[in-house]
Amino acid sequence: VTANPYDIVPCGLIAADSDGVVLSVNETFARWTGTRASDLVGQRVVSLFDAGSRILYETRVTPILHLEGAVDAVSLAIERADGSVMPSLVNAVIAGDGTMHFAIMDTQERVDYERELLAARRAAEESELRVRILQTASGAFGSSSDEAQLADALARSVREAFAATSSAVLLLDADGALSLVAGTDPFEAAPPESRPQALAVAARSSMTVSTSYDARLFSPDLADAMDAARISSTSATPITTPDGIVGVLVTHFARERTIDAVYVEVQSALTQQAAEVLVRLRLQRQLEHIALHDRLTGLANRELFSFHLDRALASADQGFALLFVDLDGFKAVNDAYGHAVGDTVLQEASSRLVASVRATDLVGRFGGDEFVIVCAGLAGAALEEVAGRIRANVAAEYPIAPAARVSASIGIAVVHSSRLAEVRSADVLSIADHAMYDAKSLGKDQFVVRVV
Amino acid sequence: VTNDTAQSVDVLRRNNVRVVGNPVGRPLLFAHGFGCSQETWRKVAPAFVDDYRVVLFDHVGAGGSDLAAYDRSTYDSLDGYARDAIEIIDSLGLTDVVFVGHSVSAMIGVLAANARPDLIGALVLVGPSPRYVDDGEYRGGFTQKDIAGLLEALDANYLGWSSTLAPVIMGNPDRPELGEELTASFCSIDPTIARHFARVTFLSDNRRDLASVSVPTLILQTVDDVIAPEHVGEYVAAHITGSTIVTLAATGHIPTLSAADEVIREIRSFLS
Repeated sequence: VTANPYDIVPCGLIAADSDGVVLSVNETFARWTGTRASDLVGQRVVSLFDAGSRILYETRVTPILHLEGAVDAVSLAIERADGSVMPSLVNAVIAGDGTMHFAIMDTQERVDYERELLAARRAAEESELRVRILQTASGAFGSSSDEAQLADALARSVREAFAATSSAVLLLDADGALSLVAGTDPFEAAPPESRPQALAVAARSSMTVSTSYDARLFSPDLADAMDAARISSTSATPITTPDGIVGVLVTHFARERTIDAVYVEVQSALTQQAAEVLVRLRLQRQLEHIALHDRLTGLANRELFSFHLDRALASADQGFALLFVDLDGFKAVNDAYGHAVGDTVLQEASSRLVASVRATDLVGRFGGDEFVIVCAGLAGAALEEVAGRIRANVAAEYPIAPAARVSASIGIAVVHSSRLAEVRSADVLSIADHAMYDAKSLGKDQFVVRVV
Repeated sequence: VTNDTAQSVDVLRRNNVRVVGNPVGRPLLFAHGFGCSQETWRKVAPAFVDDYRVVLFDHVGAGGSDLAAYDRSTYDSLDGYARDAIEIIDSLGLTDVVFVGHSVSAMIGVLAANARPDLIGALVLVGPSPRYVDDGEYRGGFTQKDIAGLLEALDANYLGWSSTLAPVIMGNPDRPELGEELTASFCSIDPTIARHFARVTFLSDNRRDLASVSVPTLILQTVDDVIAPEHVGEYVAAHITGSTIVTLAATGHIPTLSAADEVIREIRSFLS
C-alpha cells in the first residue's frame, strides 16, 4: 500500500465547506492535534484553535478570507486534544465552489524566537515611554510659573501616562477644603466625603479602586457615584510635601482597569516630582510676598504701594483718592509703654485702617507711623464718609495701651479721571502729604481734602 | 470656512467617512467591529443605497482612518468610539439615524443611542455582546486568560502586520461610489492600536447600559457564533426593553459577509 502523499507532507491540510465545517484533514494535522482525522470531520475550523486564536480567527481571518479570497501567514494557536497548544502559521484560500482550503505550518521554534523578540521590543518601548512621560512631565512641571499651570501639567501627564479617561488635581485651600485646580472631576455631583479624593485625604494614603466590587467595599456612596459618572476604576494619591498633604491627584477610567505596581510606581514618581515643584512655587510666592509687604503690619510696603499708585494713574476711565494717614500721639505711646507695645498699637491701627476701607482699596505702610491708602473711584460724600470712619476707628481705645490717645491726621488728594493723564505719582503724593500737614496744624484728628 | 465646517471636515477625514445613496432617504450608519474596517459592510451596504442615505466609516486605527488621531485616553473605553459616531452624525447634520453596529460596534451603538436618542432613531445590533468575559452567573464565553491568549495571538502577528501594513488608497471624496476598490489590502488595521482596541473591546462591560436603550432595536443572532453565542444575544434581547431578536440561519460571527442576503432581508423588514 502506498501512503497518500497528502497524508505525509510535513504540513497540516484541511478542507472545509463554505460555512467553515471541516470536510477532510490530512494525517499530519490529525497527528499534531492527537485526534483521529475522522473525528475532526464535521467540526468547525474555528474550533480547532485555542480561545484567543478563535477570537482572532473570527474577527480578522474570516472577514479577510471572505473579502480577498485568501489569507497569508496568520499566526494562530492550535489546541490539541490534551489541551496543550501548538503555534502555527495558517494560509487559506476559498475555491471557486466556495470551499475553504487551509495549509498549516508548525512554527513552535519560530514563534518562540519571535515572541522573545517582541517581548524585548515591547519592554524597551514601555520603559522608553515611561522615561519619556517622566521627562516630559518634569519639563512641564519645571516651566510652570504658578500652581494652576503645575496642576494642569500633572493632570495632563498622568492622563497620558495611563491612557486615563480623565484626571483631576485638587488642592487643599486655607480652610482645608479640596478644590479642583486642573483636569475634570466626574464626581462633582457625589457627596463630598464619598469622593476618591476625600477618601485618600482621610486615609492619608493612596486608594485604588479597580472594580465596582472594590468600590462597594470602600463605600456604597462611592460605588453609586462611580456608576452615575460611568467610571469603572479610579485611583487617588495624596500630594504630600514636608508640611503634610496639600492636595490629591485622581485618575478616572471609563472601563475596568488593573492598577498594578508599575502604575503605582509611575504615579507616585509623577506626584512626588510635582510636589517638589509645588513647594518651590509656594516658597517663591512667599518670598515675593515678603519682598512687597511690611514685616510688622503685613500691609503693602512702599514698593507695592507705588506700583498700585502708578496703576491707578494709568487707569483710563476712573479717578481715585490717595489718603495720607499720620498717627497723632504715637510717639507718646512708644515713650510711655515701650517699643513692643508701640508695635502692637501699630499692628492694631493697621487692621483698623484695612477694616475702614473696601476690600479692593490698597492700604500701605509708608514708614514709621505713616500710612497711605489708594481708593479707586472714591470722591465726594462717599470719600468723606470713609475718612470719617478711619478717624473714628483709629481714635478708639487700644486695649494694650488704654491710656494712650491715638488719632489720625488725614491728608487726601483727589484725582479726577480727566486729570489722570497729566499728573505724576510724585505730585499726588506730595499734595496728600501737604494736606496731612494742614490737618495736623488745624489741630489733628481730622481730614483735609485737596483736589489735584 | 467657519470653525464648524473645519471641524466637520476633520471628523469626516478622521473616520474616513463615506456617504452614498439616496440623499433624502433615512440615514443608515454602518459601524464595523474589531479586526476589520468598513469593508465588513461591502456586501450589505449596496442593498440600501436606493432608499437610504448610507454612511460608512472606519474607527480610528482601522482602514483609512487618521492614525494620528488615535489618543489612548480617548479610546480607552467604548465611550470614545461612541463619541466619534455622534460627531460623525452631527457633522453630517443627520437625525433619526439607524445605527447598524456589528460585533463591538453593537455596544458602541448602544452607548451612542443612550447619549443622543435625539439623533439615533433605531439600532440594529449584529452579533452583540455586552461583556465577553464570564462574570459570576453571566457567561460571556471567555475567561480573562482567553483574552490574554488573544493578545498573544495578536502579538504573534504583530511583526508580520507591522511590516506588511499596506498603504491605504483613499477614495476620491468627489466620487465616493460604493464598491469602488478603495484599499490595497483588506481590513487593514494598525497593529499597536489593534492591541489596545482588543483590550478595550474584550475587557469592557456594558451590561448596565442595555437597560437605558429607548429606541427600537433589532438584534441579529447567528448559529454557532463563538464570539457572541446565542445565549448572549438572548441576554441582550432580554435587557433591552421592546427589542426584537432574529436568529439567522447563518453561522459564525460575520454574517455581514457570509450571509449578507439574510442580513439585508432582516434589516429591511425591521425598517419597513
